[in-house]
Amino acid sequence: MSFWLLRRLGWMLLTVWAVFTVSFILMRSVPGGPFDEARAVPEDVRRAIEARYHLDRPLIEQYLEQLGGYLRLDPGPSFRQPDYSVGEIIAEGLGPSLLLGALAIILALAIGIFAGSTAALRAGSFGDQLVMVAATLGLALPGFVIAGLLVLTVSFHLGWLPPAGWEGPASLVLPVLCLALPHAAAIARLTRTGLIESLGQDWARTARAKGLSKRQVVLRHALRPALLPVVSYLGPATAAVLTGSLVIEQIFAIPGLGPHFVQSALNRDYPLAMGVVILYTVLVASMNLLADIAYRWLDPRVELR
Amino acid sequence: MSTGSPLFLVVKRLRRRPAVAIACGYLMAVILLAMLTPWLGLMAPDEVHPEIAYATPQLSSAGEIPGGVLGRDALGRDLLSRLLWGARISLLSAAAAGAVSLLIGVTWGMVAGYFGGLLDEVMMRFVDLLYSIPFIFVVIFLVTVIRGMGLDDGQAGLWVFFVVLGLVYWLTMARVVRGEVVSLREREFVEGARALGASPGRILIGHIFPNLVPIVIVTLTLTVPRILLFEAFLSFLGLGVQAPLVSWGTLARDAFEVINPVSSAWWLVLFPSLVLAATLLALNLIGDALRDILDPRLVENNPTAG
Repeated sequence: MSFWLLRRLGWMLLTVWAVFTVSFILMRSVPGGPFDEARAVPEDVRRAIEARYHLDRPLIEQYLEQLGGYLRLDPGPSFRQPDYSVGEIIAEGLGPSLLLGALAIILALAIGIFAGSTAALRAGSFGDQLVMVAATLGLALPGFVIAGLLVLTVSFHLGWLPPAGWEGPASLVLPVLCLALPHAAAIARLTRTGLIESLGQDWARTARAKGLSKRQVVLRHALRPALLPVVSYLGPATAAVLTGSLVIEQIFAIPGLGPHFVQSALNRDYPLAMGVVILYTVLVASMNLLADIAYRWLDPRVELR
Repeated sequence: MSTGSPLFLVVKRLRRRPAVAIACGYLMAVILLAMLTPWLGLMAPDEVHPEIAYATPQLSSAGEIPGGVLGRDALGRDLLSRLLWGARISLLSAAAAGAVSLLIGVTWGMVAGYFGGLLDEVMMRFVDLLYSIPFIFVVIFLVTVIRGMGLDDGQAGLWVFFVVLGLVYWLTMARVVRGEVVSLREREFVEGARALGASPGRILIGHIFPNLVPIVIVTLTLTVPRILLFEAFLSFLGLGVQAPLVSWGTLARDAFEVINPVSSAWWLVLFPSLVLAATLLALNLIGDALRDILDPRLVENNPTAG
């Protein structure tokens, strides 16, 4: 187990390092300096700017310095907001984004597992078909389509919830729902398939024969192995929620990391864009690792390699 | 088409699913309309009429009545026309990027699977590595760098964008193809070809590839909607297709910029969303059905991974 964990951590570090290096190379392969459009800058001013961002040193030295900065959790200054460091900007936006993402995943798990197991218990019934149709729809609809329809109906037509903003729990409902629904659909499908399979096993039949109710069999025995695919889905789901929240934060005007990242991409603020990319890589890799550990805990038969 | 041919069996089984038949019909209609757009006698997608901005949709657009079937946007442009011109770009992006991902994924998977050994190990580890990266962020980063190089203007920029889209979605294809090739390369007909002195290239293209076709078609049908969605996603954020070109993503972006509770121009949000959602749904339904028919062994794969 500990050897396995070390290997996984090493793999994770390798991933993050690879993303860092590729980002650095991409960033520096842009011809001309990042400040070229601030045209007609006197020579000494240009040199002063380059010195501030260490752009006058040899490339390998810049690379090592930036790598060191990231290791000390200090990614350096932003290009477009010179008074702020990348770290400060990220720290400011991280809270709302994490809250949004965590709530969305929890909600997706709740809806998905409930709908999936309800459907599996009545496989083939009308309710089951309804859940599966809803899941197919939910998987196909992009976040901004769901957001558009919800804002038009719930916010504008009915006036129940605010269409945008970041004040109080009411403003959280729509964005969390938009982020959660596609994943609730995926989780419902996975749960249904898994539960139908595990209820067909001999041990499930034995448990029924010994007098347990169907409900008890599901809750005590069948759900645990059935949820294994859901657990391994959590890693990719985290990545997808982070991605989806770029759009959702923009639509609902939420002061998270998304708008910063999109803005940095639009204004070519490379250090900030790179900071966010590295942060998200670490987040997704950690989530994948946690999912694997949970998998092992749920199913002790699995030999972790 | 003889009654025993594989194609006939596929069509026969597809007929039993009415939802899939509707999906096929819808998809063909959209593709046909998109191809014929320039000859439909519509207003140009960038023709501005400020005096009829936000005219509501109306069916009886006899002669000079402003609204048009789907209404007008903030600059009085005809939404129907923009939707169809947008379909051209969106569908083209899916097709072009799909071709890129097909080319890379199939080649990568065939080479890794056929030659095996250390090469296979290194190539598939590379795929694993890319899988564990939130690739979309790296792609957005790549898009900014491409903009910095000045490659994002006009026609050339569009094609660079398509290639970048395709670069994201070849991983699943590579894995699926590799798995299939690993089992195929041990079969007698491959051994026979090898014994007759056929080169690896000839074996891969002439003998192994034909056996990959069903599984490649299934994977491709499930990949295309993801590409379409990703195009809409990037264009929505302003990082994809650039004005004056239109795609379904940029239409949704324009819509969200102008709607507000006072005068919600609901048609600007509703119609692009519906068309995009229906297209994605149709592609997903067809992909699922093809998977069930052509390859029952393929497990339900996870809906978000590359």
